[in-house]
Amino acid sequence: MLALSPTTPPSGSISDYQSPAPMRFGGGMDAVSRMVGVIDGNRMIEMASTDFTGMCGPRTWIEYRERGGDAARETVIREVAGGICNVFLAGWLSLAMLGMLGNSVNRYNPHGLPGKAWISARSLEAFGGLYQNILTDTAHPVKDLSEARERFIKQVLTGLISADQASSRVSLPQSARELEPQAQVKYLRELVKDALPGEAFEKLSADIQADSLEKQAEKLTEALHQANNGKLTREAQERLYRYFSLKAGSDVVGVQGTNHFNRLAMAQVLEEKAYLEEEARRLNQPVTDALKHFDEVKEFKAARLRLSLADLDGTEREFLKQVSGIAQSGKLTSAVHLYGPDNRLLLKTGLLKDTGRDALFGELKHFLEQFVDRAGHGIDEKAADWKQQVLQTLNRPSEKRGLWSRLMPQADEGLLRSALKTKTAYTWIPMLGAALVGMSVGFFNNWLTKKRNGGKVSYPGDGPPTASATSAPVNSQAPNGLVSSAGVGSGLKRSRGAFAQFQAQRFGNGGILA
Amino acid sequence: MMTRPLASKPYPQTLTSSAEKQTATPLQFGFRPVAPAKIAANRLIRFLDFHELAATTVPQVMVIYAGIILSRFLSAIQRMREDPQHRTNEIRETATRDPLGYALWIFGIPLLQRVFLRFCIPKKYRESLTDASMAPESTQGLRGKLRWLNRKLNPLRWSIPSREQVDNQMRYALEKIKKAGFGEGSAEFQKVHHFYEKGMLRWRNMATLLGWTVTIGLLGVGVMLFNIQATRKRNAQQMKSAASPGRAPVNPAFGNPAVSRYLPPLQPANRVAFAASPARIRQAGGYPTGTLPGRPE
Repeated sequence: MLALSPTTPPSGSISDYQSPAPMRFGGGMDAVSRMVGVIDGNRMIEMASTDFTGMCGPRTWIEYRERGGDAARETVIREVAGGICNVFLAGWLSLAMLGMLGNSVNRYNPHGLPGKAWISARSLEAFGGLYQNILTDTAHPVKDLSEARERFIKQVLTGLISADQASSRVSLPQSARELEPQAQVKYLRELVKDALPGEAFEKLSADIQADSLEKQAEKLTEALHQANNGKLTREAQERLYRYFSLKAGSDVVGVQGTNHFNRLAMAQVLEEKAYLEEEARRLNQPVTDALKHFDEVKEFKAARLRLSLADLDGTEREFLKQVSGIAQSGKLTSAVHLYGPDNRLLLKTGLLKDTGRDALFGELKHFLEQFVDRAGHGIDEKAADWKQQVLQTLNRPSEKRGLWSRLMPQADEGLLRSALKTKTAYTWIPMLGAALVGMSVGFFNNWLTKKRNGGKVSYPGDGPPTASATSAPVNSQAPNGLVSSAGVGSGLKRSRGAFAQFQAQRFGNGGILA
Repeated sequence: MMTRPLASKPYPQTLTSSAEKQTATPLQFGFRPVAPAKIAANRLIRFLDFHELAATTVPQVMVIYAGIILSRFLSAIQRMREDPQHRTNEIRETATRDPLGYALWIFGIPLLQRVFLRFCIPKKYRESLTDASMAPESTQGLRGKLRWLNRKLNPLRWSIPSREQVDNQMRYALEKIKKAGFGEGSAEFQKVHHFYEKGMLRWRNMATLLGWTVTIGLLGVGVMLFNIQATRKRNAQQMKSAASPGRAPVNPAFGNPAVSRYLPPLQPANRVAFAASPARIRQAGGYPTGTLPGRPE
């Protein structure tokens, strides 16, 4: 069913991917390119930069010049608070929630799932569905857990397609068109070799051998156009599979495998238990309080969580760097779509670096560690219903009733279900918090302006009070009567803004405000 | 004295031989099996969830910002109700500034990028910089046809490769040309490099720069100047109306605190202006100081 051949565990070091040195482009475009790279590389940076340079700065300045200090103060409070609440606050609140609840086994995190090992709801759904399908597959039933794991990883790797496949389908032949015929053929052959399976490529190159160079280039371009499906190359698929199926104590330099938390955590629990027994023996008691209350399951969860967090901080970065490097040279660009076995689109990642391909590989690693491996812990694969047991561990509904247990993750509930509930809380609470803070700013502005004006309510953008405006010449006076009391100074009155000058020219001596 | 192992354990550690053997623990939660349902996230959560740790997503921003704009309207209404002069410019300015800001801020850059790449760059690069995605979509039935039309006409549906993706394509192409035997110094390598770096990447950069600058200009300067000009014009108009004896004022409450006290407070003032018939004013208790200045009665 799967395109990959069975892979034996690696014998030599496979950590042979060297990330390329950053490319240097000459000229002034280099700086521009770098700046655009920052803006384009992250949608939040793009939005924050537009907000602070577009909405905060110029708006405050214009209000200050045209309408005076009160209006400027209101604007700067409104826009800066708006920018922070929109772009950053929800993220900060989610981080704070994570710090409080996601780093320990507690009432709101009963399974001890590390919140920092982030998997977005869509990915969780897609991966969970795929793994469940593999376990419940009756046409090709899996024999044991390691086979299920292998099939799952290969399913994901074969289902990945670059989101810009149509673009590279045009751009790669187009870039070849720039070259001399001989070089063009050589270059195209390399490209086609990646896109076609081995034997098909042999056949094609035998077919076109007798043709002229131009004809060869034409046929190769056609073949590239047909075969370039945006998938990972076979070689890259196999190498990535080896990365994701590493066991503990692997031979990869600097990279810890993905399937070792159960074993290490169990070792810690047993060691702790042995220590407590030793203590009891030393105190000459049959059983101490500590031993009586020693909960193996709970300790296992805590130890697993501790190990996961340490791995997240430590070796995971190196692992992901290697993996994304392999994917890059295996023709998978930075944003991907994930297709299921029936060619159904399961998942579209974000377009950008932080939400695209690399993030998906991180999520795959987290899913394998926190759900696949964990659900398989302690399962006896010889039992008749082992698949049922794994499915229960993953997706068992809680037996508790009531609103609270519907909203909050429960200890007697499957891992996936519990994780999705956590996700609900992690989405709504930060968003509502950010929205509420943002929504109070307008009222705060009203209160502040009223207080500064001695209890008199007015909108500072409205211009001079009616009574004085009829008699006073406008252009010699600040637009708002409150300007001088706010301490802006007379400099403002002499140098009016460009817009006011335009107004004065158009309507003659500022008559418009009279 | 033994040290407590868990507290003092750094990561990672080697396994002791006694720890190698695993005991089966009752980690399987369910002893009474229940048929597992299909895993499905709530549709709203699927839309609004964080994609990465602690980075607000665009759908979240869209919801939060909509709430903030609503609150700005409410606070403007609050001020209008407390303001004895019932001046209405804040609500109108908010109604211009914030929805425009919302649209420009969220859709401005993507829209301008796409329009630029579709219509303003050389044909050689155009094809590979627009319609980057080939995600299959059915065109069956009316809904499918509408979806197809939306994909063709709605610029936000034109998928363009991100700068990162173009960069990735370039790196892949350069890897391959190197593999074909043309090293970094060769003319062939340079040509492929130039096609991507001086062509595709440059146009892609230009698109972002254009979108960014125009959006900032419109957001920061355009919308504000438009608002200020409109407010001045309106003030002047109201002044004129109030001053000329032959015309009814645009807003009878404008500049007349005595009148405004008798108008229903919950009604926005501009509505009051349009709806202020003599009958309604009489119903509200009439003018305390005789007739309204400027009214021909």
